[in-house]
Amino acid sequence: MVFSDVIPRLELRSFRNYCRAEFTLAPGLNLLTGANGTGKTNVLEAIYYLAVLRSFRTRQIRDLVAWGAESFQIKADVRRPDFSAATLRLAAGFGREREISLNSAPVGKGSEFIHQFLCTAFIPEDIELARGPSAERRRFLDILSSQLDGAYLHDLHQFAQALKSRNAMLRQPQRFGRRETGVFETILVRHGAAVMMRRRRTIRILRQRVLEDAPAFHGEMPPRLELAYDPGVVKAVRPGEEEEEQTLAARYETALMESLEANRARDEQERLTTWGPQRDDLALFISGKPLAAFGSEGQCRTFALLLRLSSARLLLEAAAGRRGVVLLIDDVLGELDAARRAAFWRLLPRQAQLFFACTAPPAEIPADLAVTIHPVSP
Amino acid sequence: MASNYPPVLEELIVGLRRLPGVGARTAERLALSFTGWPADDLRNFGALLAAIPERLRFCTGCGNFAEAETCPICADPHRQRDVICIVEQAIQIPAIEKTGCYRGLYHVLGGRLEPLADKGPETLRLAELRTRLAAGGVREIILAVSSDVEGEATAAWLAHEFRAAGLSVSRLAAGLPVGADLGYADAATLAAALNSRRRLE
Ligand SMILES: [Zn+2]
Repeated sequence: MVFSDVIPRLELRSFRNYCRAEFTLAPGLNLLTGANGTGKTNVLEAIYYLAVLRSFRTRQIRDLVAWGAESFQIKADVRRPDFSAATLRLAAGFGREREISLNSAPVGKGSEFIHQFLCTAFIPEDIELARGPSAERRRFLDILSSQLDGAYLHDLHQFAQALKSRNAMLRQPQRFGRRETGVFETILVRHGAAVMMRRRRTIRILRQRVLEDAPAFHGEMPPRLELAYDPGVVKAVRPGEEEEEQTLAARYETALMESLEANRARDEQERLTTWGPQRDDLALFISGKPLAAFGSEGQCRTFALLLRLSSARLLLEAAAGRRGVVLLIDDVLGELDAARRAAFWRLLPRQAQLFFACTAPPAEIPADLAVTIHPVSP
Repeated sequence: MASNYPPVLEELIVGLRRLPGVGARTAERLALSFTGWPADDLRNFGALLAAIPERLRFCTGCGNFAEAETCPICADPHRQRDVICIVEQAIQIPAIEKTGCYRGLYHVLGGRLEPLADKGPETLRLAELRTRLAAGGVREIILAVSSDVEGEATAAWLAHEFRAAGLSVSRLAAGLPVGADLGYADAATLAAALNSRRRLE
């Protein structure tokens, strides 16, 4: 079933360069056209913020607030595949509490608001997925995992809280002894192992999808691509494909506990937990070699685009008629040759609502996509 | 913002804003509502606030709010003395009392292990608790701490000590509110409910 009418209406107030703006959006492909600096990306950023509760460009709330305003507001009508509608509203500003509401009812926890629709953004900075630090890939994995699995954010949050608590205790050894760190370590290990399990599962299905989608991008002579989970735990567990999830979870817990134990002296000296899921990575290889060190700029860009595209296709499967999927595309095709651009358009899922920012409508849009043009001016 | 009012109201508004959940607009509305009260009612209300430092004390036994040496619960001869329910703050006691299901005593911890808020074991009312336990007669401990990371860690930390002392230790189950619709429960709540599930007898 085709369902690409996820966000019929979007309203911005004091967001970036928009004082007040309303957009009536169409199913299919929405082209946001305008000269550079008119704020096309800002519209994509607002949609992303509503879905994921963070920006894809900045961590500073104050960057998002229009000049002279104290807070911004994003409001959208969202349609679910069962045709029920929801109104999402978010208001935030520097130094004030974020307000989120669902159908005018305030929502306390971000985890109950996030992912009302599933959203992926394609942005030029995505190349950092391929050659940037592991934190970029962990963020990618965490967002994708939380979109695929509603319980993931809880485990991730509990793990992060236990980890921060342990680090705080390591900084004050005169107040916190082994017994105090021990009880937080038990929690860290339990939720850390759950985080590892989910990340591994995410990578396994993503890998399958990437390997299926890759040939479309590479034509006759495709380089061999590979993705693998690289856990940040000393004595990393390298499981066989058939390993039972139950026994693997137990093995992850043991490995994590042993890693904390093995590094205790060093952790106490450095006053920081040196190893654990906070050092996890998604390892990427091209023709058997690490991508960041051996891949060309073009290969890095293509691999990053593939990761986005394949994860978008995964989301559509995962949503399985429950939630709409929105894809935001900002200026990622310019560096690609004609064949890869064509492959991109071919693989772009038709059941998602698409938002594409550009200075002028691209010539190669496939005929089967319904196109609506929104000239953007601040 | 509130500069249109005479100083007495201004100061009142500033005072009311210190209350939890009260913003500028609410403080203004509350302050203005006082102007409609009879003078005697206002004096009594003010006297009540003024008396708090003298009248309000903490129970030397459990740490609950009290107006005497011990709180009404500790003083009640009909309460079960072999069970102690440990809470983080005194304000949690009325909530448990309202259920009418619990007939034992309490102990207020005064917080929990919270390294990120600079709260170590020395900030908890543990010496008082150990004294009570050493006096004998306690058989069971119920840990009514919150179900987040710090609550869970504090519970495990306390349970270790009490079990070693031969006490029976239990913990309030986390999970679904009564009458909750499974379809609307968030994933974390459902996970907690699953983890603290009970066998059907
Ligand atoms: Zn008492």
